[in-house]
Amino acid sequence: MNTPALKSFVAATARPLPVILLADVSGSMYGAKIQALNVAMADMIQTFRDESTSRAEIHAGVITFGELVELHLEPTPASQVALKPMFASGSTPMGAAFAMAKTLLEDTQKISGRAYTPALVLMSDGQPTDAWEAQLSALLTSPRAAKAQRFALSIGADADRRVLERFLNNPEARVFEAHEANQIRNFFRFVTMSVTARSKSVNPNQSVILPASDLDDLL
Amino acid sequence: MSGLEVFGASVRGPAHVAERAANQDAWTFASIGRGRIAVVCDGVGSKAHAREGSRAACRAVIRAARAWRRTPEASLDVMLSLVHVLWRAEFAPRVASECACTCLFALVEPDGSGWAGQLGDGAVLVEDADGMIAPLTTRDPDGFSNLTAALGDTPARLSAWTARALGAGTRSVTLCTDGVADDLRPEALADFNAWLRLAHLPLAPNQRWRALSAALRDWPTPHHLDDKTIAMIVRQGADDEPQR
Repeated sequence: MNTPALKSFVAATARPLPVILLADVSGSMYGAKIQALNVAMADMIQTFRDESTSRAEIHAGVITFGELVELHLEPTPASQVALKPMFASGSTPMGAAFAMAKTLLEDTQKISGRAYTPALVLMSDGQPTDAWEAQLSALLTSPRAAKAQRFALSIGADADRRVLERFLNNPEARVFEAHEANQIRNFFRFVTMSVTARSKSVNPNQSVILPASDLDDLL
Repeated sequence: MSGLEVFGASVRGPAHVAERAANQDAWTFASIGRGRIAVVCDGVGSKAHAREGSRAACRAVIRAARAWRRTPEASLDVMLSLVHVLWRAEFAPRVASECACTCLFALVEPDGSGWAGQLGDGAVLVEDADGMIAPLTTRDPDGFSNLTAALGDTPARLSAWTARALGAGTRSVTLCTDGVADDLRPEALADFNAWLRLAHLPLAPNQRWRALSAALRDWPTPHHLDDKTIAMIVRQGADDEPQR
């Protein structure tokens, strides 16, 4: 049998499907919104962890932007994630978060060429408080980030839909809206369903169109 | 002078097995003069006639190479142009984009000289007289798995091909579709190539195919899904020759 020898030449891990979240943790998210965000993210990670029939191993990463812009969670296999709660404070430095996302996506040590195209998820309840246009443009024209499947969530009435639409950069893509904190969870369920459907499809690089009935139930 | 041996195998990946769909990879080999040519193609999964396209590309490369060999003055670009034209002729009147596939080939003469070409993902591993491996292409640093250039892209561009002349003394050339290549550890390419050659060359031809098919079916990477194809041209007796 040849296989025992072959094992030493090939990758011992499944191809990753990275999901990178850009989460607004500015002061305006304080209270019910940040609580809902923490619960929704934990649910999502748990679903990814339980997903045993995937053809890809889902890796989750989180960039938070508020008082600081930081890599809250390095891209990590969902089964190994120990998620720390996020706390809301500070302003909305979304431009710096775009810059960090670009750097992360271009880092082939953290997101390898074996990976399927990543999902990039932006959620915000406010207006950027730093210079963001050049950073967003750089993100969207970055060869790797440009290939990512993108999702955007507008939280509350003060969110800047214009920025979120620019982030999607696709007239057919939709900015989801959460007018109440519990709708944040629905958005995460939608992202979770989209990513797990991709991870189980014949080609995990292709976006999966969920049935309209599923969307109606969620949003 | 050494003899040339060609062997290979192609198996359906778990995704196509589960769907009861056909293998979209294809491979073939042929003699051209005293040399050998091997071709490996991978139908682009999302295309309706990808299986037909990959088989057509195998036939087209053999036909193009035979025609090209009759015109020694013609550049390799002439042969690659012929591949595009003959490939389309193979499945006309179907639309080329619906038959898209990658295309890897190696044409090796008894002294080891020849040509290797690649359009799209996968790997062409060229082993020199000292056992050093030089892949024809490196992974696109901006790319992700299963995104590839292919025959059938519009516009068709010869610049999308990577091709290299093989030096005399080349010991082997291995062609792999991405189902194999994407899971190979870069630091283990030489060991992989040596295993392929040493574990299979001593076997009878039908045993080689059986052993290699079994290894591809029993692929160790978790959750792998792609069809998998390998073809190898080896100069038998090259080990006995003086180092160049």
